[in-house]
Amino acid sequence: MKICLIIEGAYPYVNGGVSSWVQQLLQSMPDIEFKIQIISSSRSEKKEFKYKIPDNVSEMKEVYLLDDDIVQKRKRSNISMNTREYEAFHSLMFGEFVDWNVIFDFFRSRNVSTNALLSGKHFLKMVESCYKDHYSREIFTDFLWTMRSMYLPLFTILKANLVEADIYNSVSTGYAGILGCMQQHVYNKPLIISEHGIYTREREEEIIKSSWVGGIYKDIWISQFKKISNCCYDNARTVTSLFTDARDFQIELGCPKEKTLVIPNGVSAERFADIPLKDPNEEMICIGAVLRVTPIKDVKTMINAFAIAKRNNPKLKLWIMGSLEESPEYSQECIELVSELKVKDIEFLGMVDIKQYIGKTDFLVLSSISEGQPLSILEGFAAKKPYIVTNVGNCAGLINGEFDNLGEAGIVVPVMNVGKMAKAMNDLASNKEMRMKMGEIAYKRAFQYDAGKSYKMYEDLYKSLYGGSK
Amino acid sequence: MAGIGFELRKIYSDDSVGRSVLGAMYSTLVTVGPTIIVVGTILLMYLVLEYSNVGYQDRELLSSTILYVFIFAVILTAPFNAIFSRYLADKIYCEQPKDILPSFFSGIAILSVLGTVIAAPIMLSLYFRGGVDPYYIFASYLLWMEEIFLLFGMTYLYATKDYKVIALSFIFGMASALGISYLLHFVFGLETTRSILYGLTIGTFFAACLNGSYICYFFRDHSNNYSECLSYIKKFFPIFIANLLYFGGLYVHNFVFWTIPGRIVVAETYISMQPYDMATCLALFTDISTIIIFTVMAETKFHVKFQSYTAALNGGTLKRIKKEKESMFFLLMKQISLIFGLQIIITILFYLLIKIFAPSFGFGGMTLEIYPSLAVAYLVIFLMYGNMVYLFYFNDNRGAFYTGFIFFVCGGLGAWLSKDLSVAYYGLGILVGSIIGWTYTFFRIRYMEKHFEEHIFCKQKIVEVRQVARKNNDIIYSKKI
Repeated sequence: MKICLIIEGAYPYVNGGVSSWVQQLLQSMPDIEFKIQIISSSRSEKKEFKYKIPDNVSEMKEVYLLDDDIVQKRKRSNISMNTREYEAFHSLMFGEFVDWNVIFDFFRSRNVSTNALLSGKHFLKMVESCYKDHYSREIFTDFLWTMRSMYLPLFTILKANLVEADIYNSVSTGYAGILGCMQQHVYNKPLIISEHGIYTREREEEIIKSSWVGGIYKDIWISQFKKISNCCYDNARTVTSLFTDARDFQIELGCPKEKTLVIPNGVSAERFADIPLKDPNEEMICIGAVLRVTPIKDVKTMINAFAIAKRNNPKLKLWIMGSLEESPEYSQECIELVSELKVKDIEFLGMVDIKQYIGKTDFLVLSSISEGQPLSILEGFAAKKPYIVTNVGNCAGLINGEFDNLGEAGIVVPVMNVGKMAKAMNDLASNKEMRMKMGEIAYKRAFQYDAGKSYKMYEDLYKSLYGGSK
Repeated sequence: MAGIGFELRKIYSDDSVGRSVLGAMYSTLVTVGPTIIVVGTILLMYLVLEYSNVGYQDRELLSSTILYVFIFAVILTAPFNAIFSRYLADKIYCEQPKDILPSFFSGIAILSVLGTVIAAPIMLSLYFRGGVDPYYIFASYLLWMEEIFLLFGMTYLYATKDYKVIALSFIFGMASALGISYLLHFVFGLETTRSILYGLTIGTFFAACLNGSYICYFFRDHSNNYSECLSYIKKFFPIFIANLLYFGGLYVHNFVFWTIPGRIVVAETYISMQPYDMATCLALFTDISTIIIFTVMAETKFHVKFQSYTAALNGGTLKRIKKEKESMFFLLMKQISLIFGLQIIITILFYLLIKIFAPSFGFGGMTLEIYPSLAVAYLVIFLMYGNMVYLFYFNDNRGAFYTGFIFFVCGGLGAWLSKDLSVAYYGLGILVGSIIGWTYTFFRIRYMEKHFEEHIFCKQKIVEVRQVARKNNDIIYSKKI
């Protein structure tokens, strides 16, 4: 059985939840052959592997969102389209119901030049007709070029070289999902969508906040991602999520309920059995943060909260454990914030072996503004550490317990709320008994999220689909 | 002719008769001024140095030398000027004037090599077959190279927008030519043809030096980017060929008539068909005003419309873009008919004048027999050139290329067929060729009007093009299992 994993912007170049999940998934099924398609932004990126590739991976191939127009002949030829194809593209751009199969066949049946397609007369006609109907007050040239830039990555992906496998498992919807859909269509093999976050919602948030997409174009971009997600949900045999709220959201977005399946993340608690512990004579109270220093983790809120908490309790110290390289500019801003606030005892440890540090902390903090079901929380639980988390994704579910009555394994605070996070830090720091109690609850809860169980569910899913597809 | 439009619009901003006359003079100076100055000087030299008293062989040798130098210098430099003027326009637009002077030197270097390669067999033939003395041959070669430099430099001089300098350098150069030839003949006793040739060579050298110095002075702040301009030849190759074919087409009928009985062969090298060539010259001057009228119209009214259209493209709604397009094409069509109407009157007037007065200036019957059809042919040729310029405005390089190609082939073929007709119909071939060329440009413009949005917005390069790689380099890891 050959499984093709399709991953966008994570493994093996980036540390983090999704990448760790992929690594553990690969390691948990040594007898199954995996091929991996990695969606990167462009060829020019300098990248290094952050993980040791397991032996059961036979091939890793990159697919680019922004790539050259790879054609058989240098001379550009015009793109011809029949009525069905024209209507399929038109509905992809401005309609509601997209005939994706026609689009997939269009890209597979000929060597399509991206330049010829995007700057062809058919594309212009489609843009013109939509422009006249809905956006006639906009600057036309801007509108046309925005449409071109919007569809360039999608069309580039649809031109990509395919990988033949028995099952396709895309780790998100979006571009990875659409590549999975096309391979599912071409090779008639089942597709699984495994969503860690809800891709459409994440992109929507990004687009709403972004300054590079303006005015009317925000809605067009968002609707584009929704169409892509719908295609993924329609074509997938099974759509997994990490927790029930995420599943409900998938259903709300149009995923048929019968396709959904919750497979939570898992942690091997025994891995944290013999970790080094805090020196009993150590007077400082150590807060740990296991996260990549990136804007989505909102490290600045955490630093500000720590500065306030530190004023009340000078014995506090903060270890920030995670890569500073992914967003160097943001990392630098965080370092500068620490010196501006003149707050002491904050250390940026960078990439470290978490197991060597996590036991020496008193409790942990996760300040993210967007999450799925963070593995770092489960790892903290396995190390008997209570957590202060923001109310995003499944964080509150993990702290409060969705499947037990054990009690709270930490404190949930609102997103970007410096005051409440500082108070939570002070509360946990000043109450050792509460910390110990929450740590015990956390540890017991960790066993409910057993990695073995989680990956076994995936293995069973693969085997059931493989049996059906033969 | 960068900048001429601005000057003309300033002049024509006031609608008075005086201003109109000034505008016409200005356009004449810029478009055909240098040619008129040079031709006028040569005619003056002929008169002052009593050219008519020179022996037939010497007279024909000088006439042929001058004819060949001017015709082939125009054909050789025209395609380069078209390409380098684009490079200049881009550099001015991108505010990178430092790259302009290096491109001038690169162009001169290429043309020097090409000019020498083209001239070499002619010089060898003149020496070995024609027995012409080496000083004469060397002076001819110098005149040929100077003329090339002068014509190529015009593109750069127009970019300086200092038209007074251009006019003065030509006037000074040609006045020197006249003075030197006078001195050589009357003071140093040199024979007439050599006095004229040496005088012309030295005078042209002065003019070329003055122009070159002014270009070097104007673009004195320069980089070492000598090669970038060469990529434009590849990039705009259809324009290069379009201009080569158009300017080749202007004379291709002459080349055909140089093959028929009655032609003369001078020094076993220069071939010409005097009555036909002379009729061509008369026809050319009859219709040259078309270029002047076209320049005024295109650079003033049409250019303004074109700018409005590009402004709409850069920041307008589709409705505004289409409105500006319609307005631009409406004006264009109006201008085509207006130029045609005006030039018809001028051509008829010149035709009658030439018919009446030419015999008294020694033009023979055969020349005047050929002249009428050629006069009409050149009217159509210049109108076609105007249409071709509109195609250049629209960046329709393919249309321009086909225009040049059709005109050259049809003109050449037509001349080949008409050479067997009676003398009065000699010019019929090039006339038919030019009509076919003009018809193509006219319908090409109509086609552009219909498909302009496609032409403007489509077929653009959005990402770099790469041919399918043999080896799949997208695989970043593989292991046999």
